Amino acid sequence: MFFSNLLEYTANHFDVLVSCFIRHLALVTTSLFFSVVVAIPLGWFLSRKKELSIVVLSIFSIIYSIPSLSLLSIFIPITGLGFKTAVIVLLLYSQFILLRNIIAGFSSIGKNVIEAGKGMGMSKTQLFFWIQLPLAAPAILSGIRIATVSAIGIADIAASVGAGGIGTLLFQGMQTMDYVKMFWGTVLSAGLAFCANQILSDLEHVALLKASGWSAET
Amino acid sequence: MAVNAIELKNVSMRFGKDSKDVVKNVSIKIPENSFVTVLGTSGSGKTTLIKLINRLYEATSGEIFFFGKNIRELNVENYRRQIGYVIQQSGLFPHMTVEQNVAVIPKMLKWDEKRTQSRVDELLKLVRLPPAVFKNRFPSQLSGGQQQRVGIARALAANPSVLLMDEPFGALDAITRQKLQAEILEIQKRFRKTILFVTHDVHEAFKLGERTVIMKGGEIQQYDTPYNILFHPANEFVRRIVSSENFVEKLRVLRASSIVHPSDGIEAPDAPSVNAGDTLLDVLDQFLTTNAAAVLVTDKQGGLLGRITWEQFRLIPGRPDSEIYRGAALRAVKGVRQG
Repeated sequence: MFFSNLLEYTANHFDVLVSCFIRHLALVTTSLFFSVVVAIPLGWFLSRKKELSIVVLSIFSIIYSIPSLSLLSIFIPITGLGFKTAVIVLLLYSQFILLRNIIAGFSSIGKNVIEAGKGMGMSKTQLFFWIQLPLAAPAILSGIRIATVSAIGIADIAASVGAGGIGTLLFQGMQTMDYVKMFWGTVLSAGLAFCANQILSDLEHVALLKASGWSAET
Repeated sequence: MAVNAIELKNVSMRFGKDSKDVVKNVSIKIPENSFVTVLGTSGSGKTTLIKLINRLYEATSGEIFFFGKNIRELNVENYRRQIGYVIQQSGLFPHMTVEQNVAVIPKMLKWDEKRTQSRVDELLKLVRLPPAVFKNRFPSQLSGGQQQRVGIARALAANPSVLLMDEPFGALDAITRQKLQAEILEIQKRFRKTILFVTHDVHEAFKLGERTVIMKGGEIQQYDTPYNILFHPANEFVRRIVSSENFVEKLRVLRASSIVHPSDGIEAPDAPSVNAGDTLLDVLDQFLTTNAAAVLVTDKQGGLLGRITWEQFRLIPGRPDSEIYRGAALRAVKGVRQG
């Protein structure tokens, strides 16, 4: 019974599945793109201001602790229903994870390495792109990985404010007790989270090897 | 007249507004082509002094000159590129190969690929790391001594006239340290660098430095030749620092060149000889094992620099200051002739 329904739905509504999946991916990548663009310079800056970084991290940690449905509701009066609200909420959630990792990444770079770079006459830009960014990269990528996985999950909920995505399938499935939709919603979002985690942790591994010299391979 | 590579005039430095001066009213001249060591315990301000010179710290008051130019008026990055900087634990970039590390300054100066390549090879050979073996290694694949060699090669890349070295050999084992000390002395002589070398090791300070700065609490206690510091300490603190050295130990750190006298041209054909860089202990050894009345001092190429007589030797502790400088003066004359 279930399998024949599954086959039938998949054959007839394959385009729906694909578009939900793409929409979900767009939601997650858009929010993470902006989140990373904000978090790297902010984290670099905060890594040198200890007190300020504690304040900023506490604020984002409070935001992070707000349940997702509540945070989405807070933004509806301001930004309305839809994609934009979801992106803003996902961006806010991922800031905490990203900042925490990025600050840790930049702070963990040995002081003598930085002073060697400065003492050799590197400009701030050279120091950042040649030294600090490659050395902080493993921690930054680790932050991006955790933020991505958590954003894929939260984006499911974002369907409730009309942002679309895989969550739509799940919500519709639950409302109509449609196991096929529930099945696809679960498989797609869990599969996406799993793959994203795998790819990003591979990248993280490569970055770690690069940052510590290839001998770390052993 | 000797040019001063670095000159500090009444330089003071404090970190917080209300804290104590870490460097207190320091005035000092480092002549071009000289090897000066800075000796002090931790907290004496010796590292701060170095970082003031390459502007990792800015002086709270006073002025610093680099070949006569006030360093505050120079572009800080261009200025730093003219100074080689070597620090403890090498400060190598862990994500770059040996080759990339050494090529950092050439890359900043936008040298072309070929010039950079040949410079890297040349430098690695100079610090005795065969390029074919070491070029593509990462710092984590090197021993402490090898890392420090790469650190020196990297600092020399753009052929700076001045090297600042902040306890570069502090973390190395005794044998490696001795080897590197000998090599840095050779590099300094061969390429006529001005080196300011910070250390907390009395031995190292006297072995390497033509002159040594002794610091305590941010102030200079004495700035003089190792010989004068050992035999004419300026104050109680300096006396205490060097008093732990017994007479033989003192001979061990003083170089033959520090008391060499001009030769009168009539030397016994079988007279024993030592190198200018050998210690007075080596000279004593020659006296004790041969019957000679004088030991000849030669330079690296075997050229005669002068001699040391047994009488001279016995008089070391009470010798008048004027005599002490003869050796240094002779060295300076010789240096000019070589150059």
